[in-house]
Amino acid sequence: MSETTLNVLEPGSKAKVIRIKGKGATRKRILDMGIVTGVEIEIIKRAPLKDPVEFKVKGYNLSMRQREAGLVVVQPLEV
Amino acid sequence: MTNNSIRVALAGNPNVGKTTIFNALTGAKQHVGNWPGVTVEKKTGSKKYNGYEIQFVDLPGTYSLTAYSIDEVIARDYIVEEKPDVVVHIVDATNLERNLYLTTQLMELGARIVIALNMSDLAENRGDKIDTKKMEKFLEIPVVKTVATKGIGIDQLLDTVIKEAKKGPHHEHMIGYGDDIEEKINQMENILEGDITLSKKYPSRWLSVKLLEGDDEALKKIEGSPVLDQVKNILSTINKEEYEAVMADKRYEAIDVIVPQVASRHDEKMTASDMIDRVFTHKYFGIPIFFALMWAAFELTFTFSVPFMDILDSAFAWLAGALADNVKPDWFGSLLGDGIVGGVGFVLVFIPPIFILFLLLAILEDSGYLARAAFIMDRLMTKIGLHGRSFVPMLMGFGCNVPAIMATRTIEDKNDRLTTILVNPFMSCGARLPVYVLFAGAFFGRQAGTVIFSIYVLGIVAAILTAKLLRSTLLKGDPAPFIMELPPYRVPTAKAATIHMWQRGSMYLKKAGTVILLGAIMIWTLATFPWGVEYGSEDSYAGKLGKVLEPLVAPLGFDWRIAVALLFGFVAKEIVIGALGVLYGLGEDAEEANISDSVEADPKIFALNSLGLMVFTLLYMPCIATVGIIKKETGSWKWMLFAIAYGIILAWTAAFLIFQVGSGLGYD
Amino acid sequence: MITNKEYKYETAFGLIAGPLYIIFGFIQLAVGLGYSSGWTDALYIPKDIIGSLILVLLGAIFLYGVKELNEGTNEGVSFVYVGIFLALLWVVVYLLVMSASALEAYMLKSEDFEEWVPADDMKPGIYLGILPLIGFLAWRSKFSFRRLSKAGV
Repeated sequence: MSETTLNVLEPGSKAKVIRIKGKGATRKRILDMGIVTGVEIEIIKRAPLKDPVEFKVKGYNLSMRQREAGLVVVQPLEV
Repeated sequence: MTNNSIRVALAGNPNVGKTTIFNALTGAKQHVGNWPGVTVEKKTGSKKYNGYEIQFVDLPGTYSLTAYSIDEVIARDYIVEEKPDVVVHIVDATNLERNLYLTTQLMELGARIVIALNMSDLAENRGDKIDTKKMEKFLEIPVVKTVATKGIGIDQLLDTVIKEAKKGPHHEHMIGYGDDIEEKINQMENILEGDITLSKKYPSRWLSVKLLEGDDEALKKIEGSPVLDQVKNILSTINKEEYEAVMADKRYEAIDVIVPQVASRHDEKMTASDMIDRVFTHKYFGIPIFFALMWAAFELTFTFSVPFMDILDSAFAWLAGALADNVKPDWFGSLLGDGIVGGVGFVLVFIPPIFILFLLLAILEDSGYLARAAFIMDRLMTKIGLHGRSFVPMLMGFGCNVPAIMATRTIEDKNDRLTTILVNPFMSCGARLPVYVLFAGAFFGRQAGTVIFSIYVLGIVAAILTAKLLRSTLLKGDPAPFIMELPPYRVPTAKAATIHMWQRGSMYLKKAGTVILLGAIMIWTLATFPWGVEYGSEDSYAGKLGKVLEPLVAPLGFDWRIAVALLFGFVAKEIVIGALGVLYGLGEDAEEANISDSVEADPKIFALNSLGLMVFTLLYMPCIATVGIIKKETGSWKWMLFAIAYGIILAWTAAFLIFQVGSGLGYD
Repeated sequence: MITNKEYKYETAFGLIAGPLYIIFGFIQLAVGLGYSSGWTDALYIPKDIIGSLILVLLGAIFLYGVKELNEGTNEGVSFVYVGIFLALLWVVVYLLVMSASALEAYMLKSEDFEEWVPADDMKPGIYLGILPLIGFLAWRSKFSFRRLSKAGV
């Protein structure tokens, strides 16, 4: 499958991180939280108002707004 | 270390039990203050152990050590500049990978590290096996297994700390960043070592890495150094953003090599925590459950605490009366009784709701629910220019703005936090309700409920508009990113929650207390002097001040009595009623019903300007306790004065419009 | 009906507790909106709209658990357990509020509480709590939070 960004994926799907767009604090924070190239990330659920979104990465749960998730370029994986 | 005294810093990610370890290490011997120049909590404590005097500093919980967050800058500056003998790094045994990321950065700081592998029982329960011996070998760092909540491993941790501290100057560990970057790091190190004072102060490898990552704070550290130009030369040849990403990759790569060799992880498909979360963040039930829990917190804070407030209130009223009547000379008795005890009593009466609220907040936070609350409410709060974490403090503002503003400490971003603090006073607190009840009841009869409800709504609208205004002018900037860990649900412990409650609560008593005391004495002076006049009457300085202020409030339809009452309302908004009681000559303890009759009988107060008065009471400057806490939490006189001035201007404008437009339309 | 074999008792519990909480919730809502009659007084239904919504919410959580369990989603049992936890939490809150009123009435002798008797603060949110209490005792081991760690963050 082709490249896409994390914010468009549906809960229940998994993806592999390719790179992080953007710059500055937000990008650094995303990297620091373990979302680096090659890592597998699972979309768990959306918040009741659809934003933010909860993910599972490196064995822990992380939440990001759609806006931040849109910076993460991923390759969707077959579940 | 000098003689037998050892300085230890505690570092670690948030939610790994750092505070519990700190409590277990230091016991009750703690001191809570702020880091210099910022309102980030600094906790210190000490422990005598085996003849050593060990000083502990609890660094802010961080995931990394970048220059982007104030917490992270504080943590790394402390380690680099204060050079503690040992850094105890608390690692969550159930989440080695992300925790070790911080370890890699602590290593670069050149600190002597001891790892406390906390929650190791939890990891073992789910079947993880962690080989600490191997871990020690790979990392070259001693590792101690701890279960802080049960006090397991604390003595071994202390023993290890002492052993490591004796080893003297630290050795450096490193992560390899690959040939290209390593070459640049080498070049950079060589340049930096040209400046002797600089390389003595900071580990040159760490500084090189940070400079190459594009770290602004690191660049500031070498300002004025003779090597600055050479450094800038190198920096101009590289793509710092690419380096930043590659370095993060390499750190995680190194961790990915180590972790599988030292630990076997059993990821459960559905943990107990996941099961609970299915309900609490459910797409239909998440929001109703959130509101139900908030309502429960509200009931406990503001209903359950009432009898305890009453007890304190009558105790202080009795004491104040006894002092005023019996202490000679009269003016001194009055100062002690009416001024000091009355004023301080006002602060102390708020102890029950504030302590209960802090206890509940600590429980919500420790259980992991507060992070979910932010997750659920973020969308709504973003719309009005705030952050998910702003919601709970805003809601608490309906009870009392003082603890509500203190609760904003959970908001990381400075602008988000400042906005939340500044709009909080518009959430109509419980103290303002009696004023509404009195005037709405006297002039609006059966519509009273609707009028009061509208006042509350007006407060919310004012808060939203102010937040939008601040976010597009003074506090402009992109919304802070929302990248938040949702920690596993945990069972809060009574000990941790109580310590938390006590630390925050006692801070309220100390800081707000001094401000209120000063304010109380000031108002007492105005109302009492010149000596001999009736307390707060037309002839007192307060009364004269009211006359002076009258022209200012005349366009709002207020007379001098209301001006004085509002002035006194600065101490506490419910005082507006008591003050009117005094001004109508009914005495301070007049029944509300009597005041209501007098107000109704006064031809100068009628429906239209009483509505203006209610709106004015809602919006004008926050009470003195709130002002004190705004000063304390923003750390700035400027923002405190802004809050006062903005409130007064807004209140005046609103009341002016109501009175003038209303009169124009023929209402009265 | 109960189609989930593994959690048949939990399903049965939800089938009993869910409708009861919802029915009492709506009765309390009606009283909150002004309806009053002898039988609602006999059931200690207070004029408390927010409380009624909480009863309905608790009932809905129980029933949602039943729905998921009957569809074969075993994770639905978390709705039953969390529902029990929340229902008991509210019992505790109500009892604390009641004890505060008792303090006002008997110790402080406040005027507003001159004629207060404990029955004034009795409500379905308290006595319906007997059901989740039974559930809690029956499934005590699930509530030992063995798999949750202690916090002190």
